[in-house]
Amino acid sequence: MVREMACRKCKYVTIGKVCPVCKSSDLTPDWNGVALIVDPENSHIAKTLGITQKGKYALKVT
Amino acid sequence: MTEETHEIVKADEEQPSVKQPTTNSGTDTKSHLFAIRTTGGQEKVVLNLLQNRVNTKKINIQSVLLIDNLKGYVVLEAIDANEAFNAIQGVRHIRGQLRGELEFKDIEGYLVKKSTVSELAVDKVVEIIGGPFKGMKATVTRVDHDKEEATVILLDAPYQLPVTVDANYLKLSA
Ligand SMILES: [Zn+2]
Repeated sequence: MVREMACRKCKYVTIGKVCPVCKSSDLTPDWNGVALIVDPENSHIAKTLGITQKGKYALKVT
Repeated sequence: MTEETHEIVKADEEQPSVKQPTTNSGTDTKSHLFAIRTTGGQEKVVLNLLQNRVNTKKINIQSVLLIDNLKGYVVLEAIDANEAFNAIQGVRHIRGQLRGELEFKDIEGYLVKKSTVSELAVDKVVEIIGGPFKGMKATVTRVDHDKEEATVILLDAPYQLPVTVDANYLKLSA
């Protein structure tokens, strides 16, 4: 299985080498918890996390 | 039930042609959180199934959360119980029905903001929410914004021991 990495800057989870959201290459395999943001505009969770783009994010990145 | 005779009309209504102004337009749409029970250890599978669903079907949910401390559940953010139910209907590894509503404050602690470090400052009292010192209170003595970490002195320790902690493990104490 492909390893999912989380971006240390914006917490977006990706299988690529660069974060597609913030273009950072500072990715880590050490993350846990998931927020799958479907509707960022109306999501209270997304607002709390400061997320404006839909997608899969880690709740915690270490 | 006279509803059945209107089935064709009903199907028409599902096309999102004209957006009807809702009663609470102008204010934030209020979403609710629902804890959904899953088969043990299948939370991630359920999340992936829901993700596929979001991509292929039109389901009206705002987000799905998978919280490590909440084993056997996924949390669904939806406008109401109906929308939450529609989203999970027929999805494998979901056990039973919705298990009631969660309060936002129940999960708030798991939602670490992107930049905890920006809220930290020397002399602020913080609570450590992760790592070996979890649950302890401490005073901040140094903040490293680049590394996103802070050095703190534990308040409950018998002697003043400075520890450097990931900023995401710190929460400002109320
Ligand atoms: Zn990123």
